[in-house]
Amino acid sequence: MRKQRFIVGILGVVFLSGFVLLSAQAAQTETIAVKVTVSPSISISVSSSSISLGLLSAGATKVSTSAITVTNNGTGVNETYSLSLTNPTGWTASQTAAGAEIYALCAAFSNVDTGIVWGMTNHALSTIPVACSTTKFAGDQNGVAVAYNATRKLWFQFKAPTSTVVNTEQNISVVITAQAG
Amino acid sequence: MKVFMSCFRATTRLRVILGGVVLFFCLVNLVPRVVLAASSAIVTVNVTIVSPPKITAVTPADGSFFDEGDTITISCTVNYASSSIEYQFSIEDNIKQPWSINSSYKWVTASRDAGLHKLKIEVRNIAGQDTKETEIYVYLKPVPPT
Repeated sequence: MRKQRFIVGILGVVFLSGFVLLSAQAAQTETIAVKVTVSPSISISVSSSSISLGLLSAGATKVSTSAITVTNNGTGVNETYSLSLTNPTGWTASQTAAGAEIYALCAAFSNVDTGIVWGMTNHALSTIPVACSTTKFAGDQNGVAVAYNATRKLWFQFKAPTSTVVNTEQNISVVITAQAG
Repeated sequence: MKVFMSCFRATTRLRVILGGVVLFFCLVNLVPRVVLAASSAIVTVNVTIVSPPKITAVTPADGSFFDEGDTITISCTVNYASSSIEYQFSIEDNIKQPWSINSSYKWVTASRDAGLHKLKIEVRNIAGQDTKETEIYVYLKPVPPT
């Protein structure tokens, strides 16, 4: 009798287990892991690779008559710009004032040139890259956290050397570097 | 004994918790991070500084002689060549060729031009200007005897 009860018990457990398993199979779900790797990239483009200030006399100051459009054409990230220059042979850039064979080149982001209050402290370029801020290289625009596809207009102000022996065209390279941020 | 076991359990639990925290930070640091390279563009600013032009020589030379009917070419040499320089030529202070980029003026003389003449040559650019004067003499051609 005890043996029969034991067998019935075992069968009952097996039956119930099968029922539970069948029920579990009926409700079974599968999970598929979809993995996506986002690859943002940093990139900028400029509307023109050169800008001409024309002929100037020694000691003169001139603002570019047009602006260079700088575009964040990277993917998926804001960009903050840094600016620097490379001196042409025979001239040295100053961040205070022009002098003999010393010039100053200022740059500012602004929709219009009248939106810029030019100042050596905030706008003068040097050979060392300087990051844009809300005041550095800023006019009515700035080069901070420029959104994807957004554009900025870059204006230049040139202060000629007060005297120079160089009477041929000089080319000053301005480097605009974009970094995430 | 109870106190010892209690301390042992607490220490073990603390180790497990700390181990979990360390493991969490390790896993977080193992997540690959995308390091974005900077991008740059170059804009070249072109500029030319010009000095005031200086006349170094004048044609015709001071004291030159010509005959009536001769064509006199008036010109000058400037210290450096530049397309930005303009010239103006005058005879007796009457402007014969106003400011232009033409660097010479041709004067066709006639009998009425016989005599001494003062030629003035002026050059300029955005930085300044220079002036030189020269005197020439135009002779009447002798009339052949009839």
